[in-house]
Amino acid sequence: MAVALAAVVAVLVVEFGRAVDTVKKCEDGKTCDKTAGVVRYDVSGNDNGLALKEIVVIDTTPLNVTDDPTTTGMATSTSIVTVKTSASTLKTTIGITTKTSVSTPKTTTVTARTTVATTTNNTSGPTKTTTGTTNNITVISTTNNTSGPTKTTAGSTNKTTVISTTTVATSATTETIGETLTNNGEGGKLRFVPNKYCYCDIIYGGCDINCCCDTDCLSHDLKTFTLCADQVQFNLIRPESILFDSSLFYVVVDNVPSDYFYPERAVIQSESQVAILLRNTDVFTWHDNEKKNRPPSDPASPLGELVYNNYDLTFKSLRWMYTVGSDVNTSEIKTFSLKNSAFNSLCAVEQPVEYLMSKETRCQMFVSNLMDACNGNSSLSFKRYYGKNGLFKVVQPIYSNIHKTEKIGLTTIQATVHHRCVSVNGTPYDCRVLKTGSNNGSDPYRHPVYSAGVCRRVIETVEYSITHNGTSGVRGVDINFYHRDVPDSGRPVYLDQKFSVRFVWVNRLMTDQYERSGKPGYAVGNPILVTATIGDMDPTNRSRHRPKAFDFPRSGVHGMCNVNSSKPWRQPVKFLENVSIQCRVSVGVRRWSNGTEESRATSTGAYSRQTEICQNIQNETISTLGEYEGTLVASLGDPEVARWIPVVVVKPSSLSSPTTPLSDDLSCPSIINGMHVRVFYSYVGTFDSPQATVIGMLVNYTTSKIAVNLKQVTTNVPIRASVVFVDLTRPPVRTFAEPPTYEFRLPEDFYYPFWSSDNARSMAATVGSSNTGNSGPTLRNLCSRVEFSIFLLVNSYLLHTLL
Amino acid sequence: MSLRVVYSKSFGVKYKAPICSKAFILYAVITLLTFILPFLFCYRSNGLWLKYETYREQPRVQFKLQYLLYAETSDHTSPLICGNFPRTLQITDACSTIKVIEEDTNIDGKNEFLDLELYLTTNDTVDVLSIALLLIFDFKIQDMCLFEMESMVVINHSSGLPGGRLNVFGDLDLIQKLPLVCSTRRPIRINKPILLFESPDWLVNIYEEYSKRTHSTKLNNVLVKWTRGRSYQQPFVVKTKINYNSVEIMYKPKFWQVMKWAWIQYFSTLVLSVFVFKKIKKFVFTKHIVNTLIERSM
Repeated sequence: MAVALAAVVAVLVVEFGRAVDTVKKCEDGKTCDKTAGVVRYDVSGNDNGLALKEIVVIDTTPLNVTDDPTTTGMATSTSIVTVKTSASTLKTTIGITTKTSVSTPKTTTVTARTTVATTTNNTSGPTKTTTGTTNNITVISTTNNTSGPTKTTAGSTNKTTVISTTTVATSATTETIGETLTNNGEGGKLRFVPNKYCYCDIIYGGCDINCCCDTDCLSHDLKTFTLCADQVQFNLIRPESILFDSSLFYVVVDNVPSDYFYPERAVIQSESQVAILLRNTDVFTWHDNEKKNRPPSDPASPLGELVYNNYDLTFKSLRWMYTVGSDVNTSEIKTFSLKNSAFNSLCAVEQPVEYLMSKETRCQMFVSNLMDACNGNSSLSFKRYYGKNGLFKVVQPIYSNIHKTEKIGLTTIQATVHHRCVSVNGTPYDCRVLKTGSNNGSDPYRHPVYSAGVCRRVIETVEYSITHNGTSGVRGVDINFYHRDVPDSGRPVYLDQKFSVRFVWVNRLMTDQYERSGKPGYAVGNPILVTATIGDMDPTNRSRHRPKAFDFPRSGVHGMCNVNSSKPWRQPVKFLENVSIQCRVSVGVRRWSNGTEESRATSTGAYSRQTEICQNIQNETISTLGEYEGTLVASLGDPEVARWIPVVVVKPSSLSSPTTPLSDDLSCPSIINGMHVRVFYSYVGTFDSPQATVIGMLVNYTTSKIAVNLKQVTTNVPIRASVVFVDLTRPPVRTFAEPPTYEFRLPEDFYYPFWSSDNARSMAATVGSSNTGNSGPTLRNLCSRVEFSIFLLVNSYLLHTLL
Repeated sequence: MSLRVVYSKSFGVKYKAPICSKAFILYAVITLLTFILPFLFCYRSNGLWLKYETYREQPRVQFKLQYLLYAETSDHTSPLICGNFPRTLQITDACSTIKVIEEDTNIDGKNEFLDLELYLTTNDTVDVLSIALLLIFDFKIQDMCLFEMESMVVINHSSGLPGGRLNVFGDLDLIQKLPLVCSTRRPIRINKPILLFESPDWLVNIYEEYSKRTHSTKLNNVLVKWTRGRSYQQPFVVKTKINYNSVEIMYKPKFWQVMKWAWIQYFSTLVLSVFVFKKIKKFVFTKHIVNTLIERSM
């Protein structure tokens, strides 16, 4: 405490030269020298800037002030300093007030050679200030509103003056400093303070506690007050330190100097005034729901007449196709849109499809009860994605016979629909076969039907294939519905739904098309292209083989490699995507182990049968992993320009004969069940656009021991596959073009200038025979040659003579 | 009788050597080293050229009254969504009331904090389990750099306990991936709207786009209180208080600042170098290690 006080003392001493507001105040005819000053200060580190205010009275001459109730500052931190300098050794006496708000008795012991003032505010208990025995100590103990007795004891010191005052500070506003309430001695009693702007008077017609300027308060209310909380709100003098945290370099930023004031503004009486006032200010308003409801971009809203006349058959247009509502209200048409997810995975929004922009969306349907939802009206039925009986309104140029003009308008198109059905266990079946008791004769395909715990024909994937002819509009719509039978587990389920739109040009076959994996180098995320051709390396034949993506087994349901039916059970290996896959393949063993009871007698028969099992497992794993012997990999993403590089395959010898014959537990010692691929690539080409080029692919098959329990029907064989891409790019080298070589060649007829060449002669002859007037250039040429020869002769002569 | 110095004059000695001499080469090498060595020292010890500098400033922040609240509830199918989102999502607005206070307590023209209260009205059968609240701010820096952007604060909280109230306290903080190239005349503006709903999975896309930004804001020093249990027929309450404190701004120093800092480093080592090489020169020439012609001036 003493150290802190001493530090503040030092700070304030330095600060004196930069005092902001000096109040010189002497009251009641007390002895008061002119040099005594009250300095208002804010303390560094005072974050809210409101509470602390210091008063420093600085004096250089001894003066005798007793009970000088100089008060000021904030109400919450009542501050008072009385100064008494009696010793000659102390040139400057400074009082500091510290703000404390304690309810317990406080004892401050001071032993220092400086003048110390301690102030305790709002103390309900007795305050005791003890000073040690030192010379020249001035103790100023100020207590506010102390209800208990104040006791100040000073030790046996020379020239020690103890001043004890109890004061209450009132507001020091910029306008007026209220009349100070003081009460000497013991027992604080507050007095009313008249104040024009009584900030604390909030309750009209009632008394505000601790508000000494409230006129509603009666004198007996005052007795309950603990202090006068008359706050001035904005008298902020905020110090900002420039160099170090010392007050020497404070710059005092006076935010609201007293001679500044906020001017009044005129009352707004019309809307135009508002616009003028808000011209240069950012005023944010709440988001308005209605503003964004523009019909063209909103597929949910019905289309007005305005939209009809505003068709657009350019790229990314939204007004090119509409679905006819399948509800009773047939006139309702909507922009063609796909379901999509918004905040979570659930299908929540319908996103309009932009013209010529292929789109694929995927979202989930939450089905709480499959039995209830399994009908023709729910989202599980294909009808929802079909329009009214497959009718779509498309924008097409329509030729008008009357006006002999073409005008863009709406025509109705009937979509061609294809259905694919997949049963629970993943086998496809013909949806038509299951037509039973049709109530809708025209449509052989039925809505979802719940039968025997299975919801049949739940829509899973919808593919729209739109045949178009550019600005001539849509020519045809093909819809592929992929149905799937979903077993009812009795619990709520999330069903995945996939929607896609594809645009196909009219008269262009899709069969010859395939996607490049980059042009020419591989792009990141595109599949690695391989072809299974063996020995077909001649360039004429190479383009005939369609490249296919290098693929890996996909881990399906329950971690099985090949169970999932509707999804492709293999996934492409993408460029730069390092993958590791683990899954299991289920191989039937009972077929071979069945009926072996009699043949067990002969060990060779059982042995060969068990070899067969191992062989079967081997075949299954190899077909899952893929056979890459003799496969070629495309060096570039564009197979047209790529070099086909043979894949290097390292295969351990597969030993499929069992080691422990004649037992229920069979062990196949080395079954190939792992494939580890390393793809080596390097960036080749210019520094600006290097092309990723595959320079080799190494396929490493690994074997492991597989134990087979012959008692089970099937056995699960683990499969491991991994791909690692290895960058073998060499650091870029700077290449310079070779300097051009100058060939100094003399003309062929240089040494024989007077012999015209055969060509010229023949030309001259032909020209002369047909038109003699055109022989000019040849003659001129001859003359120049003669001149040149003479010039050379003269030159050589001169050279000879000179040297 | 003691004597006093009344005047002094240096007695100059000139050591001369022809250009093609050992002495001259030595002189040239020493002179070059005197100036090059301190530079090399400064340069090789890194930090000669100032790459970036920081200062602190309280930004001018304003809540744009744009927000997006997404609350997961015990009902799978209907999360509570309110705020700014496209109307293609047919969901009834769950936020019955939102209250915002931004106050400038010290009247310096800059807001100090944002107090936001949001009341979510739901069925009593539905429990609120998680809250994602996106608040959009207008963020301006004016002191040394002129910089304006639309920025976002994301408050995410989820709990296994069905909640009744969420209190969040935090400070708005600036995140910079690159130093600002400041100018006091031309402001740098990043005013691409944050709440864009173009591709599916909106929140993920908004987060992804926002994380790509070089300048963004986030809530720092976050204190969260999730109160369990909602009173009967009472809304779920989200209360946040976000302080707009002064932030540290990283900027690219201008030419003269770079030069000043480089010069300070160079000069301080140059003084040492000059001193050392002066000693070496004195030793070399006065001890006649190399041949020179001495010329004394009177």
